[in-house]
Amino acid sequence: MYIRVAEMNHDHYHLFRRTAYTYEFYSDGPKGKIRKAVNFKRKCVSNQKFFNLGFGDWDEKTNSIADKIITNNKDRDKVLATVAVAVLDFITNYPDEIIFATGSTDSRTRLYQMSLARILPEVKDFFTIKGFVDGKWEFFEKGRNYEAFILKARKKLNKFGNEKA
Amino acid sequence: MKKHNNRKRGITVKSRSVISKKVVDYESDPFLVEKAQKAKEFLEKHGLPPDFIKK
Repeated sequence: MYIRVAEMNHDHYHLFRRTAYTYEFYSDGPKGKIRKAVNFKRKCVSNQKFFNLGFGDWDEKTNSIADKIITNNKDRDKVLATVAVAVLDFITNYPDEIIFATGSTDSRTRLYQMSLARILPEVKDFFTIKGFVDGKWEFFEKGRNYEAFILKARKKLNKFGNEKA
Repeated sequence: MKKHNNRKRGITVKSRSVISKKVVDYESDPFLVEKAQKAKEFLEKHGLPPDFIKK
């Protein structure tokens, strides 16, 4: 599948693919350059494979990712757009896979929600995005507060951006 | 620096080099492992959306 998201004009950082399932980028703001990582970790539930989205700052002290750090580098929207681009790139490479995402705190989940709402008009034709609220999954809508999100590719496209027959 | 052919998507993904030469084992990163486990527990409790289940 090859998704053309030329109309995805949100400002984002350059992504570096480190492994098949991991991307890195550098937030650049008043606090300097801060290394961030986006990882898709494969898990299985009831014989169904899915990938969990993990995202956070690289902590040099612990040599691990920490998503509870408040960076405050004045580039929140650009960072979230970059995470969204990583998701798009991942699902382009693995079009049959499911991605699950939730924040490590309620406020982080809300940030993911805002990011999804922002890119929804551009990607809704390509993805089925659902949110978990009130004990059930429903199609993602702006303005709803979800506990978690799940998405998968809706269409199989060829490299020219046309739907496969 | 070599760039992947993603320009048509408006996505810039560069090859791995230059900025960091450190090799990081993300697969065993404690935060990622714990978060993925919590995701699994969430889906075991609430299930996947029916239209996401592959038959």
